[in-house]
Amino acid sequence: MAFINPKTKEVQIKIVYYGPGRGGKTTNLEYIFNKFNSRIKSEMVSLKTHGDRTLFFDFLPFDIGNVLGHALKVQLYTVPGQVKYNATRRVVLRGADGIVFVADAMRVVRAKNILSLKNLYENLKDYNRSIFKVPLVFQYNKMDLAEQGIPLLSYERLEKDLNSQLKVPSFPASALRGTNVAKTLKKIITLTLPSLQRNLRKEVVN
Amino acid sequence: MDRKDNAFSEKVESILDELFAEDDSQPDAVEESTSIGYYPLRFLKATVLSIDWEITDEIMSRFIDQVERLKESHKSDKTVLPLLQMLGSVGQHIRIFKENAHPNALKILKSLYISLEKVIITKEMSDNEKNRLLYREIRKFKALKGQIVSSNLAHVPHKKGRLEMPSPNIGEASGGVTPQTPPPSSFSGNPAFDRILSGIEQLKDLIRGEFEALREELKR
Repeated sequence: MAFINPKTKEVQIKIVYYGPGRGGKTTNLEYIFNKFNSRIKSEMVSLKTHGDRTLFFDFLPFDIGNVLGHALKVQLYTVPGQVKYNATRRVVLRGADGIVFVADAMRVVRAKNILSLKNLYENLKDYNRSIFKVPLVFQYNKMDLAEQGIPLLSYERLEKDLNSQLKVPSFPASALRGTNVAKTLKKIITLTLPSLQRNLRKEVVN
Repeated sequence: MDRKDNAFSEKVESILDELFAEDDSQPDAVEESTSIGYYPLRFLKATVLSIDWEITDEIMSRFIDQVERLKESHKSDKTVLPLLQMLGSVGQHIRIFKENAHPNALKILKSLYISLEKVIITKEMSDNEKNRLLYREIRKFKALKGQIVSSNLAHVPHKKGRLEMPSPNIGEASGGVTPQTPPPSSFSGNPAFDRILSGIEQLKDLIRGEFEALREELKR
């Protein structure tokens, strides 16, 4: 749930990038940071383990600006994708307003995508939240690898594997090149707005 | 209230459009161009990406096989061959130690692969550029070797075959993987002593490698 500070009229939206290890979650944030830093004027914080893997999380906060009297701030987080870091994933997931599930389109990691989505479902359940109700967007990453002859899952296959029941917005993407990275981000922020407005209304009533 | 909600959403969306408007220029993060028709390293690249994901015997054997095959087809190339030799050596190290491989081994493997790809794919690359790239990789490779030796000396618990770090003779056309056997020792019951002996062997190997590389550089 978005953090609302009625005194300062500040609203924080927390977006978490979830998905299997090496799927491109950090690359998404790095792209956003590198490409739009002159506009978002922010710093990205990364905690890496050996071999450049995300140990705890990456964190990229930025201000959207003033909207109808509220200062809107967005915080992007990634979770470590490796299976062994589930406790960290759960902690980072706490209070998420929206989730971007970054799936890896490489055929060899098909099962890992499904396992990671199942893991998201379970971790949300631990917080009494339903994956069907949380604002969620799928990003099918690494689509650019097709040009190099690397066997990939088709968009349709990925949709069938991951999104056949959830039916949420999805984007084929290349986080490395930036294809659909901004679109994914814009979409997930937009999806969080209805619940944010509900919370703002509650604040007004209280 | 609905009208207010719409105004709120519209305002946020328009700010987002402005904030994340993309021009045609590519971001700094983009590393490589990919206008590739026939891609000579497609199998090796797929395997490197798989290693990035998971290290198994099957993947590592495939990797070593592909490197060996490429070595054969590039045996007369003075830049590609040493790069492949180093790739093979780091691959052997990862194959042997898997998740206990040195933390930088995967990084060096990726860096070696990127350089190899650059040398093979970029047709207009000058010999000077190739040599610079090669020496940069040799430096990184040597640094990795040094790190492995020192970390072994410092605190890696002794196990049979634990210190079998492949040590290629980089810079040499004939160089390759020369797996080291643990030093024969009458003190094999004493792990501390074994560790010291193994460390000495590794140091000797490192010095030998340095001299060989130096000799090669002097020849050139």
